[in-house]
Amino acid sequence: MRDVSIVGIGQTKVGEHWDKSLRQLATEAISAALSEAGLERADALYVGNMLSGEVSAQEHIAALIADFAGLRGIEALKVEAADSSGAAALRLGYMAVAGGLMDTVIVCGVEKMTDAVSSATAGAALALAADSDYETLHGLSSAALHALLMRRYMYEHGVKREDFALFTVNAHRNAASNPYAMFPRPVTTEAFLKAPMIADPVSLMDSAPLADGAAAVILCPGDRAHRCTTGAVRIVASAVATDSLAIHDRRDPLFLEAAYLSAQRAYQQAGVGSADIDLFEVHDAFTITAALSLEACGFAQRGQGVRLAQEGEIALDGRIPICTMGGLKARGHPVGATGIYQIVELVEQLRGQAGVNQVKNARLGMAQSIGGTGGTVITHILEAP
Amino acid sequence: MHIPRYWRAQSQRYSLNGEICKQCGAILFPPRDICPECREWALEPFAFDFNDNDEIHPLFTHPLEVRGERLPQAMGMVKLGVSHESSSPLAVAETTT
Ligand SMILES: [Zn+2]
Repeated sequence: MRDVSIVGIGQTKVGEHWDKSLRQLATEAISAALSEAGLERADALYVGNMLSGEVSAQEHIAALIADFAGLRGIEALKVEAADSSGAAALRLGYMAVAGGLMDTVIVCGVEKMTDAVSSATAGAALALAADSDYETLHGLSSAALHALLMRRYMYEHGVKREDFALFTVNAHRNAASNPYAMFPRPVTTEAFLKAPMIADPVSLMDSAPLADGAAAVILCPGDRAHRCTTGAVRIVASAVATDSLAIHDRRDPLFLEAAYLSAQRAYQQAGVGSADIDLFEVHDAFTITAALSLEACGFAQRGQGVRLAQEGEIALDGRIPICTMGGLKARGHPVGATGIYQIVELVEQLRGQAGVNQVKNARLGMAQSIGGTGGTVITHILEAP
Repeated sequence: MHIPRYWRAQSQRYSLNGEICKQCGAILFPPRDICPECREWALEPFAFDFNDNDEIHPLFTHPLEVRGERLPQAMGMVKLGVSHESSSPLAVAETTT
């Protein structure tokens, strides 16, 4: 296996891009990443996307994007794994370069949510990540499924709703200085407590906003990285694990087994443990997801995930900074693009380009992307140049 | 969704019929034919004891539009009754009293 490095990054602002189509968003991110890497073309393009068919009535988007990005003829494939589609595309790109099949690969995550007819149809589309026959059939939205988990978590661990507030406060504080974030402004605990309920106890302030956006990275073998750029960031681990789609099919709904497995595999590949990770881009689609992911990855004991937020451990100067550029909650959650946004933000941190959000002496950064309520979980660990 | 999709699941949806694994005794709901515990085929039907159902934390939520209406509904994770088993399966269901 060859070492794989990231030698270029690109991203669009996350938000409601009424004037831009899916193909335009992807083209913007890809062009920025290629230009940063000093490349005009690559050997392959892998696109992470969940909902183009459902929301934009457009499948076959890898070839479409390749064409409109000026890459006609290139190998191009779409990868789908619900919310973790972007991370899944990175996994495919990593395998292609590590395995010696490709020398330069573009990985792009893109999602266009505002082409949905209404917010209700966007929500129904996102719910396709759940088990259609046994969860979605009942009308359970993603928020409702996470509400079942959050309610049970509060009951089993003696935690209150307000205890989750600091995940949201932390994410928004960090987004305030991220020019690509959807909500670049701080929020208070009071605002968290007053937020309208979506599915009790999950409120608007527990939930990441669905949005449009595209992000891209360029991969190449480690021994060629110096030709492209000086700030090559090495991928030292790439691991996927799966669990049942339905929460009722899990041995313990409050333990994200796939998050545990993919983190363990990633630690093993990188030869590190959770204590060696300097920052963690967590999949905070809901505050409960952040807590469960922190626990499954070994950053907190069972039932103690929310305590990390309360004790300030997740802040930029804390023991394990999370959502350093705003996370899903405040940067925004363009579903299939989110996994690549996390990687782009890690690259900024590990190159020392994160401005006022810079985590000091960041050497190892981890990103974890979660599909649905935990059916697919993908963990990557990156190392500073 | 079309009628066959409901029709082929009628025994589990309306009679809550599950399956039992003859190899390891695991009780499965919804039925899934291959036991997730030991990977044996589990095709033997299993009937739950409805007097033993143990409801876990319902919540009220607005259903998706796939249901055709958006009135609040009460949903919950329900532990299905198995009189001789402590590790009985969970089901997500609309809860009515
Ligand atoms: Zn078995």
